[in-house]
Amino acid sequence: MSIGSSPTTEPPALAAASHEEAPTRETLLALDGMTVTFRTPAGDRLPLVREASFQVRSGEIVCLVGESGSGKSVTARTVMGLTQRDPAMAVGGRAEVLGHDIVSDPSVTAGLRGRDLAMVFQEPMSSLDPVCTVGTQLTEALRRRHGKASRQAERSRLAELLAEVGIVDGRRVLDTYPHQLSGGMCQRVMIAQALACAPRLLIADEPTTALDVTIQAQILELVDRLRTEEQMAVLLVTHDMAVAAELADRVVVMYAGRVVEDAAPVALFDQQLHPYTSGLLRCIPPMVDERPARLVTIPGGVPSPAALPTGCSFHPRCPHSVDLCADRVPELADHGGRRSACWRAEELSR
Amino acid sequence: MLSLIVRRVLIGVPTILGVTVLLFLALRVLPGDPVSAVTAGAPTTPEAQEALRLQFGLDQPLWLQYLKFVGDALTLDLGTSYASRQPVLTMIGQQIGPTLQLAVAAAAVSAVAGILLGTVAAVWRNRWPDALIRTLSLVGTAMPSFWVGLILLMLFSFTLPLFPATGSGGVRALVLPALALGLSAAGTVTRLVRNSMLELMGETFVDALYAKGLTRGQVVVGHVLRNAIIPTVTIVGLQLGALIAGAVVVETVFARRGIGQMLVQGVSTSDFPVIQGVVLVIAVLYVLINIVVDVSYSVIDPRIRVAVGKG
Repeated sequence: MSIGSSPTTEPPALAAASHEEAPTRETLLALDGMTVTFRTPAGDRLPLVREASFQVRSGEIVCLVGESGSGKSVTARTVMGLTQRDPAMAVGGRAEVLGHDIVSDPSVTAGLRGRDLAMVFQEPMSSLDPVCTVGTQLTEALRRRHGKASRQAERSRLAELLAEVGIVDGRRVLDTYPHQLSGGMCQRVMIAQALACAPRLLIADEPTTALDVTIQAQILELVDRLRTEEQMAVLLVTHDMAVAAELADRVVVMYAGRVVEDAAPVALFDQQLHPYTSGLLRCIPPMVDERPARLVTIPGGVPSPAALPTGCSFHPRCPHSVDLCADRVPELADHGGRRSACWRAEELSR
Repeated sequence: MLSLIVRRVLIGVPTILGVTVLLFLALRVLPGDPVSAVTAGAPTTPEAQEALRLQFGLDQPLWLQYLKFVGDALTLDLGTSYASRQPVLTMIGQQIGPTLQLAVAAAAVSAVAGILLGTVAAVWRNRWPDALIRTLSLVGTAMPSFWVGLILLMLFSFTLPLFPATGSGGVRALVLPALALGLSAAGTVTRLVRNSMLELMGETFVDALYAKGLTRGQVVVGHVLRNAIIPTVTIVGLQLGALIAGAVVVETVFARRGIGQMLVQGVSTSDFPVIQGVVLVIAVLYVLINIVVDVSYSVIDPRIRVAVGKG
């Protein structure tokens, strides 16, 4: 296949992505054609996620990237079973979380949450109950996993957990209320809470978007360390390509509810097999002295699920679209260890 | 904390003064002559009437009467009843106990019923329990307490003789009046609890609570309700003031002892000192309760408590 030959860096990229030799990588999240729909009050079914397919294995960080409205957060929430809270949401296709089929038996996530499955949210300041102390909330998470222990034992274990996420005066923090903490501290507490249940799969939905850059780096470093040390599988939702470049073992690009590209970061940044990915990468302002005349953007916006274009959803914004793109939906096809859903992937990559 | 209380008290003073001015003017503008009410039915001469008028101080200019009333009130002298010739403060002292009992019991009914029904409605949102509770709370709010009282009397006193229809003694006599007064207030609390819980259920922290594996019961009772209680305490506290005033009507329906009965008596005989005294006491209680609610709010809500503690 022509695509395999042109980006010469591809095989080394895959090797570089796996940080250490881990022969027994277990698949902890496997989506296979998962769809999520939302029923409007008028009775229409809007597709929020369409046939999403990708996997996350232990010790691996998979970054889910895309613009707002691309379905990446809905995907994360669905994996957590949180979409079940909204009766208007329905899940179809296949989705296996830690070996359990969450589509045929949605109740299974309730048993996994807080044990092998944990989540960190986008807005740390509003992720904690404002009227309970940090200690109370962490204790709940600890007891969920390990059962009740003496108050002293629990407190010292929690202080340890807080130390692990870089909070040195953990015992004091246990007695504070969330509003007394900064955003970065709240996010550390949230991560400590996730750690309290020692999850095998961590879902992080834009965990650093609301934080300033230095804190961002520290939090991401922490996530990276957990992946390496605990062999945790991480699904990291982000719209920040730089974050993906830094951390990801694989990058899954979503657009209008579909996975459009899935590749190792080095290969992806070297050459994109979907015009949308190229567009996203061009939107990163270059870090060099010469300023570009203007910031590059992708013209137009993500289509609403209520008014999806025919064929490839990206074709109205795509500089390379041809008649075929408007007619038929491109499959997410394999291109030698990476995948792309573009009719012209091979042709454009030449 | 102290400065908060002082500030609230200072705001309360003009409120109470405003009430007294309005009341004072209203009593003297509205028809009804205390002297002819006192002498009603008895043969009397114009001279005797004039003597009474002098005795009550009604011959003096209005502003002087008002200043005297305020001045006396500041020394805890609310005047003497025209009808019973007893000091008004003493009369209120004898009557206020049952009224406070009724108001507090009604506030408890309002809080308990409101929180229970509001929680059920929020958890079963847009399903039949919610629809039923929303209808009931609307009906409850719309029905005047004397009407609820009459229905309760009919059902639980006349048809099913479970509770006494009238009287002031004991807990059993308190049940129906407290329900009559509290149920209309419960409608407001129900809707408040339901709406604040629904709003809270959309918050990220609730997702986070589910994400760490808590069950729905743990989330709803341990966290959502706990958050929703804070605005509820405020509303129930504020209701208590209104319930003391509302007790006037319910006491009449159930022929209960209390300052309500006393006020109705006073109005029917144009007994100015009694009316002024009772209304002033209700106004002062209302303002005091508001202050207590404000302060308690800062004790219950950690977000405010910490700020106050520091400041």
